[in-house]
Amino acid sequence: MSAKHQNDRLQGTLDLLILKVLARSGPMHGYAIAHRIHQATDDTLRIEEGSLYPALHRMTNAKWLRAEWGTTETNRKARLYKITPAGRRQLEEEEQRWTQLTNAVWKALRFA
Amino acid sequence: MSIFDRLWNALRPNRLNDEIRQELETHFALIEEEEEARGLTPDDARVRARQRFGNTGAYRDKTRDVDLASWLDSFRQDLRFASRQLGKSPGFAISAVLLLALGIGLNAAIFTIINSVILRSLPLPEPERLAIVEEQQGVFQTPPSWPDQLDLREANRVFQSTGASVADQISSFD
Repeated sequence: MSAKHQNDRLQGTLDLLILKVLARSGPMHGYAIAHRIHQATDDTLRIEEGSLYPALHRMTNAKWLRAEWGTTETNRKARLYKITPAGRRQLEEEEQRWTQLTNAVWKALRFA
Repeated sequence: MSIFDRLWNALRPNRLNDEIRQELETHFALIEEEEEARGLTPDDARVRARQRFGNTGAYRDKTRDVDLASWLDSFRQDLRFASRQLGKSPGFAISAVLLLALGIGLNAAIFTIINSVILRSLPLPEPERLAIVEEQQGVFQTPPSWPDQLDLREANRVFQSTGASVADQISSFD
C-alpha cells in the first residue's frame, strides 16, 4: 500500500482503517491516526502519512467524520477528527464488504 | 462543515489553504519530534519525516481539491434546489424579483443624489477653506439673491473670493 491510492479498493481500505481507529477512541489528529494504523498493522501497511489528509477531508465532507481545531499534547494546533453516527454505519458496511471479499479470496486460495 | 463555512472558504481560498497547511505542518513536526526522540539529528529527522509523510505540497493541493470539489458540489445542489423551488411558484418568483429590482433601483437613485449633494466635495482646490453664505429672513433661510451676491462680492473683505452655486453646479467664481 506504499504506492498510490488510485485503486478504489485500496482507497476504501484506507477509509475503513481510519473509521475503525476513530470508532475505538475519542477525537484524534492525523498523526495519531497514522501512528495507530502503523501500530495495529505491525507496520505491514506502509502508508505515506500525507495521504491521510485527502481521505480525512473527503470523509469529513461526506459527514462520516466531524473535525474541530484543538491542540496536541505539545501545544501545537491540530485538527481533531471524531466519527459520526453516519460514519459508524459506513464502517459497518465496509467491514462487511471487506470480510466477504477476504473470505472469498481465502476460499479460492484453499480450494481452487 | 456548514454551508457558511464553505462559502467563507470559497470566498477566502487563502484561509482554506492556511488551515490545510497548518494541519499538515503539525503532522510533519510531530514526526520530526518522534524521530528526534529516537536519537536522530534534526537534519536526519527532517529527511525521515519527508520519507514518511510524502510530498507535502502535493498532499496539500490534493486535500484542497477535495474540499473545493465538495463545496462546488453542494453549491450546485443548492442552486438546483433554489431554481426548482422558484419554478414551482412563478408568481412568487416574479414578485420577489420585481421587489428586489425596485429596492435596488431606489437605493441606487438615492445614493446618486446623496453622493453628488453631500459626499462629493466641490471640485475646487482646498475645499476645506470654503464657507457657505446664506441669508436669514425671519424663520427662512434662503440663498442670497443675485444682486445681493454681487454686493457681497464688492464689499467682501473676509473671503479670498466669492461665488455662487446651484446644487453642485458652480455658476460663477472669481
